[in-house]
Amino acid sequence: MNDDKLLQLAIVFGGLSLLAVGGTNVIIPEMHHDVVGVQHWMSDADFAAVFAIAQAAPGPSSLIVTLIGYRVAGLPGAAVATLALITLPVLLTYFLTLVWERARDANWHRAVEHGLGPLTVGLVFASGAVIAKTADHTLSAYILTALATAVFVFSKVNPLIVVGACGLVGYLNWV
Amino acid sequence: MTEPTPSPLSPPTLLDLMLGFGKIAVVSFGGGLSAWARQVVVEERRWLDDDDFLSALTLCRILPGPNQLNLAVYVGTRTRGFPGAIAALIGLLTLPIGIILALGAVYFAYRDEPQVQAVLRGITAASVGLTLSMGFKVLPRYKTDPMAWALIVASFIAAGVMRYPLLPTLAVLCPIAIAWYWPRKPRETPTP
Repeated sequence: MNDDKLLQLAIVFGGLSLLAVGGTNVIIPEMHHDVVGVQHWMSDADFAAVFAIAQAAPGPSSLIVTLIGYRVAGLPGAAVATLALITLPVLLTYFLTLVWERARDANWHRAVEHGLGPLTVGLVFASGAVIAKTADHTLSAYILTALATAVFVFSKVNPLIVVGACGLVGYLNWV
Repeated sequence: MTEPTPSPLSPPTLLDLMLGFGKIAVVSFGGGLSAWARQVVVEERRWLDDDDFLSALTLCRILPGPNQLNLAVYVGTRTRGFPGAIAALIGLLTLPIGIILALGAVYFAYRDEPQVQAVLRGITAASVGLTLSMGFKVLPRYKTDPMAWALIVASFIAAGVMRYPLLPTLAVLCPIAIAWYWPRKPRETPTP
């Protein structure tokens, strides 16, 4: 039974890892669909929570999969989910590193870099929108989100301070 | 900054790589990992020169998967081959994985407490803001490029509004984007 879950974790996150062009933030809507809608591994509220923890915690936000794996199958699940997400990209990066210097000025490299940029931006916005909806954002939560976004864009304040301040606003039951 | 970076004194050991990326993980608490990685990899340890590092960042943005992990793999591979890549990954991930598991365990133990939910509502708002800000920060780059706006809007609507599956979405939009930005004859080259 548990082996089945570990296998499912490996398949779901291994597949998602190859769609993460421009980073793991672009696969959040797809991950939400798989994890909540198809596999029923956790509720909407839990998914929004592990997303928030992974974004707010130090380290790569891709570690959201570590928490999902942990939720599904404990520490073995955390290990399998993390390895599933990183193995294929790591191998791909390893092999391309070996040939990258020679391809530096190739046409495909410029086309891919310029073309994927805008797609990544649109998908990152989509991730933010999907999480806001999943978390059942109230009007005050949208306002807090807008304020936090503005601070992140226009100032160089350490994000942990903003996260802490928003957590305090939540603690005071203002959102 | 203007002077060329001196070449590496000697290749790092596996332990050097692990400790170096462990340091990057620690000092980048709160973000700015690429900048900190450059600081450690180029300035302090001189494992790569500046050009090499920028080229690595480009590759890591193009490739699927977590960008920061790809960067660790690149630096590890260039300096010590595959074992170097693994050492850099272990250095970068060990502490963050420990922290996130501890936070997750606390969350799943106390998630039914109203106060925990209240704090998380606030943190979720901040996290969504952090995600959106990544997009807003690079928007000015595209202000004179209508095709980029079309791609941004198309991918946002497909993934965020219509919730189309990502694979077909990328299968349609990626070839269009790459074909459009394929370098053409100098006269026609789009301004990036």
